[in-house]
Amino acid sequence: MSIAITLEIIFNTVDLIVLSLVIYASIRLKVKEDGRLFKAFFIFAMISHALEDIYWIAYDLLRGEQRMPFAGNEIADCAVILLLASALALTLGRKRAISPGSIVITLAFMLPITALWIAWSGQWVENIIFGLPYMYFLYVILLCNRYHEVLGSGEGIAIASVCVVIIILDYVSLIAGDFASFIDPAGYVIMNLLTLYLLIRCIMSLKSDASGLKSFVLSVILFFYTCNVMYMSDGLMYDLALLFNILPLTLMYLSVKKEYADDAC
Amino acid sequence: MHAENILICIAIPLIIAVFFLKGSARRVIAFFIAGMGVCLLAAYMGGYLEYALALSTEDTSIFISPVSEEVMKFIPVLLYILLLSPSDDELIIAAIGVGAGFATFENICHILSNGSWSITHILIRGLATGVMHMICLMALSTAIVVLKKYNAVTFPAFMGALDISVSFHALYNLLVSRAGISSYIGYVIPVTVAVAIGMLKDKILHKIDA
Repeated sequence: MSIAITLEIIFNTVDLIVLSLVIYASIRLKVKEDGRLFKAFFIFAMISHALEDIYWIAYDLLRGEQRMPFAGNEIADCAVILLLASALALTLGRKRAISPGSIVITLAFMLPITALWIAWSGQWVENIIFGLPYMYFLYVILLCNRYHEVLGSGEGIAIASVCVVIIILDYVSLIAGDFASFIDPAGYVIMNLLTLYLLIRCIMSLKSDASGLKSFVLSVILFFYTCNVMYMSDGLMYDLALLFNILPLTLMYLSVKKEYADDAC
Repeated sequence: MHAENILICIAIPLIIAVFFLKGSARRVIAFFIAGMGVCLLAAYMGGYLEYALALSTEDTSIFISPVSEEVMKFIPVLLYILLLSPSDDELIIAAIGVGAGFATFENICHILSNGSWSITHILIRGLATGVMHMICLMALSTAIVVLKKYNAVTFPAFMGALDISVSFHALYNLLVSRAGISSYIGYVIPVTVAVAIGMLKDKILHKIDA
């Protein structure tokens, strides 16, 4: 078994332990009347994430020598994304309207990213099918970001610009040939710096007087971002991204607790 | 083995029985037949994809069958919801009927292909695979009932619930694909989850009603 696979198993096990604690704490959490469905969506999203981890660990242990094709963990990943998007959509209430601006931004980011996935794996159908839930997820995140006023317009534009730079670097790396070894480290540094920034931003939001929903949207943005960083990374950098992907889970739980915990219980 | 002939042989007495029954008994038998029918269609679909994607039988059962079987099992239940707007109890009865029909027909075909010489093997087949088909659909229908009660039936939530049952099925198929400890874990999971769902279902629905 290679070092990368061994690390993958270790980090997935850590992820599974964290998820088990988050699921247990979420089930025990007494929430207000209006937070019950939100809590249910969150718990089932975490259960799907745990299923994804178990599948991954089992696959690595049983068939680690074979490249994982279209498999159960990706379907569980879809479930995580759709259920978290459903939880986020609940916070928009009935006032939700179609936002052309958010659709344009979603397509502007997700189409090039999906094209990158196809270029890396060579699998058209699978990546187009799995790109769709990600598009819906990003669209709902953008709606929530505006509705709950999470990121200011300046901050949002700055983060989006960094993401554009990361995507451009990935495209350049794809066609750069021998120069890719110079471009990739720069891409990894920028990706991980943005991860750290979003992480600090989430922790600050949780500690501040801001509503729990704002912190939840921020931690979901971090989760979405780290998922994409994971797909854009390779080898040990992939394992590092996997480790960073664990952090938003606890932040999401703490945000749910901050917003919906029923202190009367 | 001609699975179509087996289906005809088993379905005819059941179809006749449907005409003599009423209420939920008729509904269970009708959905039981539908479950056997979609099992055959899922097998056709799996066979086609195995050929089209040039996969081995083992790879098909690990990667393709969970998706094709769960989607096919869900279709009769989905049509029932969309066309007849059933009550919560009717929906769960329909899901149980489809799941039981699917599991029964799959078990019959499996036994006819592989023999019934070992009681251990038969018990594992019945308690693991059979129960797994039932609980995936039962959990899915319970999730739909909960979503209906909260007036939150949306396409993403629907697909999220379906994806959970597909990934659970995929995990089971992966675990039992190799002999040894992983297969023992796989065989125990469906019964454990069935017991958990049985214990929690009424509690959850009662809590929502309250």
